[in-house]
Amino acid sequence: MYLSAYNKLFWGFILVVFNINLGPIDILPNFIGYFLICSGVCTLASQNKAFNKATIPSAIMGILSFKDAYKIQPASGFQVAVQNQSIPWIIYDGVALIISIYVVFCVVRGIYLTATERGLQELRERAKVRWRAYFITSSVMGFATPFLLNISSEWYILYFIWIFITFVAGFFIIGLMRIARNELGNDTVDNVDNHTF
Amino acid sequence: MNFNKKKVATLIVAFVMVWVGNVYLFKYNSLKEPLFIKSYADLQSGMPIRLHYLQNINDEYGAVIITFPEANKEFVQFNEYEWGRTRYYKMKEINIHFDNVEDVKRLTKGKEVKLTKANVQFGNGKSVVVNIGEVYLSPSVNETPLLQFNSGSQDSNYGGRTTTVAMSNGVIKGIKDRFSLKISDMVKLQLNDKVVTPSEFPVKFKIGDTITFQYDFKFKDENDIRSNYFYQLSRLIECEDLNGRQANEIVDLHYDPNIHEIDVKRLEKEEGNR
Repeated sequence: MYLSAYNKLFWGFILVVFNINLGPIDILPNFIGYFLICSGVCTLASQNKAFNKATIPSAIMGILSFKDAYKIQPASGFQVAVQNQSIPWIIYDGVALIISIYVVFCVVRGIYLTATERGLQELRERAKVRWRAYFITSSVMGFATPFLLNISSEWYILYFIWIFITFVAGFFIIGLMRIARNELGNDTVDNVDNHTF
Repeated sequence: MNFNKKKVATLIVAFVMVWVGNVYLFKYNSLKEPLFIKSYADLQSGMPIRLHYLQNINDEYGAVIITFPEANKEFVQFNEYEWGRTRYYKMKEINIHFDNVEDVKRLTKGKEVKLTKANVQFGNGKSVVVNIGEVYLSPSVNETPLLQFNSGSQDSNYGGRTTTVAMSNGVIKGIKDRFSLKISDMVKLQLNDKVVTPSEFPVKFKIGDTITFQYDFKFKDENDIRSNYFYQLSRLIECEDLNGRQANEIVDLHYDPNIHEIDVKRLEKEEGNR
């Protein structure tokens, strides 16, 4: 019953984590990814109510990500974004980053709590460790990004290394969705009833 | 796996402060429009006009059309290239070159012209009238010099020297300074290794004497706004031989500011006053 919901999370996170641009067009658009996640967590809310918390933020992210599907300005640095965008757009970027981290938290927490209920210790620990890794890397990147505006370009290399580390952490979140699909995706309504109520 | 609300709130506040602080600092250091640096130049016929401006580091456009309101509004040919860059700015040099005498005549109509403003149109469509300082274009003078150039050098500390040899007996009547900059004591005159002060003019020289002109750009202090400008000055050393024939010796003084030491905020305020 929940197999397709976890599949949606898996593919949703692939679209969100990977950004491949063909000219100005993002061929793995984030907004589709967030709507897939939104659809997935809506279904999974019946497996564990914790997933419900991700519904609204993922829908908001889906709407906010529309603008990223087509970028007139190629991604050539945060300074370009600041110079060419007005302050509201910069605030938008900051808010979007916080919401996106919250979406990951809500989804991973749903998996963590469901695994706890099922006594799946290994999945529970994986969810916990991977969330921490993702939270730390994403938060550091969130804090580091605005410094790109004012630091010397020699420091950019550190930032790009950190982007790679954050990407790896995102990759592990995708992997977690796959493991969760295999271990929790075959739950039937009866199982859910037994465990939840 | 729960959020500690206090920790999250602290993180978000810190996050907002870091973003707002950095964006503010960047915006504070950004230029609303290209900032022209004043040039003080006294150019003899054919010498290129060098104009410089600062623009934001990510600005991709350059100057496309330049005219001088004081020089018949004629279009001029120029090359533009990046002269240097700092964290926030890049400086472009506009090099207006004259391929032949006719080009200069078109601008000057055979007379000396003083340029203080330029109308610059940029690739982004913006057109601005800018204060460029004082640039003099002088028609060429074909006169036999009384002092023959022997050697010249420039040092890295904004100084230089020119050595000449007297071709006949005569006098140095004075040093002509057309700029109102009042950068005093920039040119020191030595006759046969002896320093000559302006109060001693006229100074006699004999055929074969070595006359050295030494200059040094020294401003009041590092806060002297004039140290931010470009200089390409020609000091005229007014000479006369015993037959009363006058011939001026030209001493070129050259100064380019260090891009990392340019006080952009002061220049912006100065621009605002124009």
